[in-house]
Amino acid sequence: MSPDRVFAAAALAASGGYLAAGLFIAAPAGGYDLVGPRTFPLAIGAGLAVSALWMGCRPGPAVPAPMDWRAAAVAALVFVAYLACLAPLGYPLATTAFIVTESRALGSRAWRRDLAAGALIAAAAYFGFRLLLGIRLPAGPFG
Amino acid sequence: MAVLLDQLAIGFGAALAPANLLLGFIGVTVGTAIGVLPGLGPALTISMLLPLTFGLPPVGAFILFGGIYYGAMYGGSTTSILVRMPGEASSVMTALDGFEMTRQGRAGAALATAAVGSFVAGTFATAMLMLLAPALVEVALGFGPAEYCALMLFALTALGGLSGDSRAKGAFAICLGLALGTVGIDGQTGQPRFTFGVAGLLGGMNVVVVTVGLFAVGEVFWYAAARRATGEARAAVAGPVRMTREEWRRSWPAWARGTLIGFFTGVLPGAGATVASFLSYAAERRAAGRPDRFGRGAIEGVAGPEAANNASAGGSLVPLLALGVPGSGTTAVMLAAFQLYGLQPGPLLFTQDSTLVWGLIASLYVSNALLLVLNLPLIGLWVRLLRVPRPLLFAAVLAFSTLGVYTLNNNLFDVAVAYGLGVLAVVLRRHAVPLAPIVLAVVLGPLLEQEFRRAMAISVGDPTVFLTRPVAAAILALTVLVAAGPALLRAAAARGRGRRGQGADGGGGRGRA
Repeated sequence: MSPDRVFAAAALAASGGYLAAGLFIAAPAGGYDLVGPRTFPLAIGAGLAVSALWMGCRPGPAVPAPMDWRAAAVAALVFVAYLACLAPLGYPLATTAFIVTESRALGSRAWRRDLAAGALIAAAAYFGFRLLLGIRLPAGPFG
Repeated sequence: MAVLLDQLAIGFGAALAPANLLLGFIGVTVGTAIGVLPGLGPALTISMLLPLTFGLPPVGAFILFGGIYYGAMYGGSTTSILVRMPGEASSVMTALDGFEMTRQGRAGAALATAAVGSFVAGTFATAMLMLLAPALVEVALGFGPAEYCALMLFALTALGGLSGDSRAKGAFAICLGLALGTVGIDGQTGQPRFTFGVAGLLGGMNVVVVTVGLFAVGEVFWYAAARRATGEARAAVAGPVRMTREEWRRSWPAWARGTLIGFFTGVLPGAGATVASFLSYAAERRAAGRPDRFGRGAIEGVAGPEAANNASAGGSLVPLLALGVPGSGTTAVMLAAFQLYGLQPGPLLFTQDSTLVWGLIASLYVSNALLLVLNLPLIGLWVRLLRVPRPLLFAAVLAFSTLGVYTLNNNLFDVAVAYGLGVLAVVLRRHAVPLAPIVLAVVLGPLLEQEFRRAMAISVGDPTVFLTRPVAAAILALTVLVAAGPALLRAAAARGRGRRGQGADGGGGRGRA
């Protein structure tokens, strides 16, 4: 099966899930509303299913680029770690560390330059937000 | 007319005071800087700066706001053009051809056509605001739910075949966006929909979160996944900064059309800059005669939408000043600002506080001109940003996206949603599903549903209301024409030529990477 067909099948399954969830939307009792909260979701779900079938009937040529899913997963994991570290480490520290590690995950090998740039950006954003916009970002242990 | 000019002269007298010029300059600078960051738009900036302006006289404060508004609108186009990461929904269309131009070494020209186009559009839209506001209010008042509903359908259809090559995938993208738009509390009955008990989903999908997730975060993940395969081949070239004579010639008509489309779309509450930029792109594609140039670095595809989203700012001030009804997020914040000064926008404002209104209009001209003065010399600097190595640039963009999305509502849940959408974007791009229609559908879906249900409630369930009201029927007829037009044209062309069996409808993905 071509990758596009697999994708269309997944899209069809997803639209089935959407439709099923749409059936669980409670409609208000009494039915004073001619077009209730369910009408649009069900119509959209039908549209999703039809367009998924349509895609399946006309698969495009496979996109040539072989995908490096591992690299993408690493880039995503670094991002998750960043979110987790924001509160305990504070914005400046976590952001500096994030920019250095994410650059590396994306292929940079010049960590000294990344560290300098990361620290500069983190400090500028932190103080810019605090002084100009009055938003206090998490300061962390050194705040 | 003489009275008008007199009043305008008084307005300029107030706006051109040195202190006000300085405020305008600060506004434009801050606005551009913030607009460049993904996820931070004019509404957020103005609302955060509101407390800082308490000590200023009203004209000074509005000059500052005007500068921020125009600056942020323009700043959003910069990242679209340079790295294909629109920060707001209204600069999504700019990215399609803007980034292609950057890849071809024409980043300078793309930024210049955006800057000059914004200036032209802003200036003429302000002039139209001055001359047409009273008349337009009448028209806008005649727009009921049925007309709005027809207009939203028109915008969605005009967009259907717009980006990408497969109509099936375009339709899927629109349905996906509509589906995302249904998440949250149903505005009319208060029923939660597709929230699965998650409190963070009750408020629905924020358009900024969707845009930043699909484009900024998605672009970085895509880069990570496809980097080894495509190498540095897609790294952009800096190239010369100026626009060529040919590029000027092609930009002018696009600016003019974009200004008109943007202004009139902006007048309609709720439609705003995003719809204006999408409609303008669709119009440019049609006007160019050769739609195949679009998506491959056509300068009209940058000039039109950029003019349109700036002109819509002028248009959205019409209902605010004339009726006191804000038509967009930013004008809603500006309404709050008016009220802070004890002013109630509406018909009486023009007669009671005419100095202030004309001061505001003059200050729009001034901040628009300042924007051009500030940004044209900066283009060279922006283009040099492309020399920053991609990994570092993208890591920094991710950091800023996180910041922008987080500060929307101060919660990490939005960041997680943006991040999930970034993963989804990689999968969609792998299968050549266009992303731009998703954003427009997220914007329009809830409005379409709300207006449709209102129209049906008013007509007591009679669906012919869409056909018996002349404006609604006219818009719907136009929609059908737009939907069926390409197929009819293709059929006519096929009959004309007859020999080549392989037509335009190959249904294949070109691989938008």
